[in-house]
Amino acid sequence: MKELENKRVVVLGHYGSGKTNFAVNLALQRRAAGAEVALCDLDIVNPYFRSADFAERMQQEGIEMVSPPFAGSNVDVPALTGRLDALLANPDRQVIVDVGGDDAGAIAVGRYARKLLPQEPTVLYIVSACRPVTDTPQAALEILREIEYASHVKATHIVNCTNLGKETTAQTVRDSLEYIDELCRISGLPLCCHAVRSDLAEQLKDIDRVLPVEIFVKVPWDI
Amino acid sequence: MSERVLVKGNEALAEAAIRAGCRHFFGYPITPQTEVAAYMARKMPKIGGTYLQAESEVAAINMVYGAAAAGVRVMTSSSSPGISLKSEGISYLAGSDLPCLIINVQRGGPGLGGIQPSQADYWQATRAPGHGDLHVLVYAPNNVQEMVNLVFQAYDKAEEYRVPAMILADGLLGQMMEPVSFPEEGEIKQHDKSWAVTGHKNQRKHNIVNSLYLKADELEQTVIERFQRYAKIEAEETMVEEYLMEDAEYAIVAFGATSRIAKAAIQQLREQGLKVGLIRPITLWPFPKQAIIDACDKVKGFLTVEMSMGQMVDDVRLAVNGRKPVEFFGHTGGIVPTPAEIVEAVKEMGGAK
Repeated sequence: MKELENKRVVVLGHYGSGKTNFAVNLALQRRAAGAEVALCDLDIVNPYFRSADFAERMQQEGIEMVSPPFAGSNVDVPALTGRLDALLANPDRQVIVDVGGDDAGAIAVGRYARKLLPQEPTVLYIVSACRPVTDTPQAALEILREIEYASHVKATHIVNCTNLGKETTAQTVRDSLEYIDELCRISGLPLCCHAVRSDLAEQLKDIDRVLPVEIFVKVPWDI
Repeated sequence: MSERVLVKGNEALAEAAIRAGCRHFFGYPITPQTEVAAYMARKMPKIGGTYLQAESEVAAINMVYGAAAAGVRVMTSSSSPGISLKSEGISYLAGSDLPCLIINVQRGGPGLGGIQPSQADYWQATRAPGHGDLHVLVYAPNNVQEMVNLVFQAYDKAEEYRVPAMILADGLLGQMMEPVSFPEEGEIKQHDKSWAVTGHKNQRKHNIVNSLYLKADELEQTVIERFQRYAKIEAEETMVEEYLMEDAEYAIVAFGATSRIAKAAIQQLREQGLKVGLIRPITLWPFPKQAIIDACDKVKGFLTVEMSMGQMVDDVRLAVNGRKPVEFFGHTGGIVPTPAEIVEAVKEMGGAK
């Protein structure tokens, strides 16, 4: 999955599709492979469960965490930091941008589109077949078009993050394959990977492009 | 029941309302409930419903009043400060015997407070959701599937008793995702709506929806009759979950997201040999007094855990009535208690520290 080694990776999608968990995994995997990584939480719409929640872990791993200054605080100020501009001027860093959900969240990327586009970013459209608003490939494509319109960037690859939270089984992923094929066909975009919980990867090894991921986004009673 | 889907609590509330027959939503955006309105905005136009972002919460609740008076299933949603703005309208709805569904995805207060989760609107919901002698039915789900189920329950009971119903959630439940199944449409109980103002067509007397009474004795009589209905609700509609209470020596009382954390703490306490159970009110009004009274005979004490400075603890103490010690542990302002803190609080009660 060479596209994930691109120095510029933008993670877009419907809210709740699994963008943050995927972005955190990608940052850690790229770091483990030796890359100099910055993870940028560009979410200006979602108050909780966001990349910025993992700032401490990211720092421990030597990943630079860039967050809106008020992320996770008690105020609702959708301000961005200047740090991302600096990172986009640095050709050696791998910058992973975790964007807010839907068109409302994707607007924030528009601010950087002019800088990003000449650098030919990998733009991942994260989808889950188990989310009611994207429950058909056509509905998922409609959301993608809204996101592209708002963000001024176009998706380059599809990432299948289909899951049912704790009820996810290998079958959940298998049941989504037809949906993903159809979405790739009608969008004209190639599949980047199926992101699956690592303990399910073995059962799915017959499928091409499976990327094992850990679950980082958790609720307070998960101990 | 249909297939399993993964949804946010806020989306679950919206989709469940639609499936329960709600075609009219009036609201105003506020974190952390905005996904309810966003979902309605996306869905309602596709199914011939009305989504209207009002100019304010005050306007939105009065639109709810109008739609409810016409006998249709209607919903509004907000978070704490917005509910305060809606309180006048809630009182008018209660005073006019109108069923409707009001969602409060609570955040930290008072004032503008903050956007992190809270349960500090318990007093408001159960004591004074508006001025005057009144109650609204208050449901407190603790998981996303229950949010779905209680939307159906809330509409059903609101119409049966002609009272407003509220779902008191919190930012954590609103924002978290869990797999759920939605009931199919068509599983909706129909209630008598002969009181609705839908046009008399010269075939019946005028129906009048009103909360103004020109004579004091008439108003008193109306309120007394309404309270007889409240008494019936208290007798028949109380909902409570008991968890590991059979052999419990201590009872934690918690609702909503806090009860999930309490369950995690109870598992840890049980592993350490401490017999602790949970009483979880699902209806906050009517409060499940009897479950608390019954537990007084077997437990050494109660610990109420809330994301507030201690509000439901009042109702626990009223039910316990001095028979057993009642302690409180909580956080407020958007801080979520951890299982470890609850474990410590229980141990302190038992003198095991």
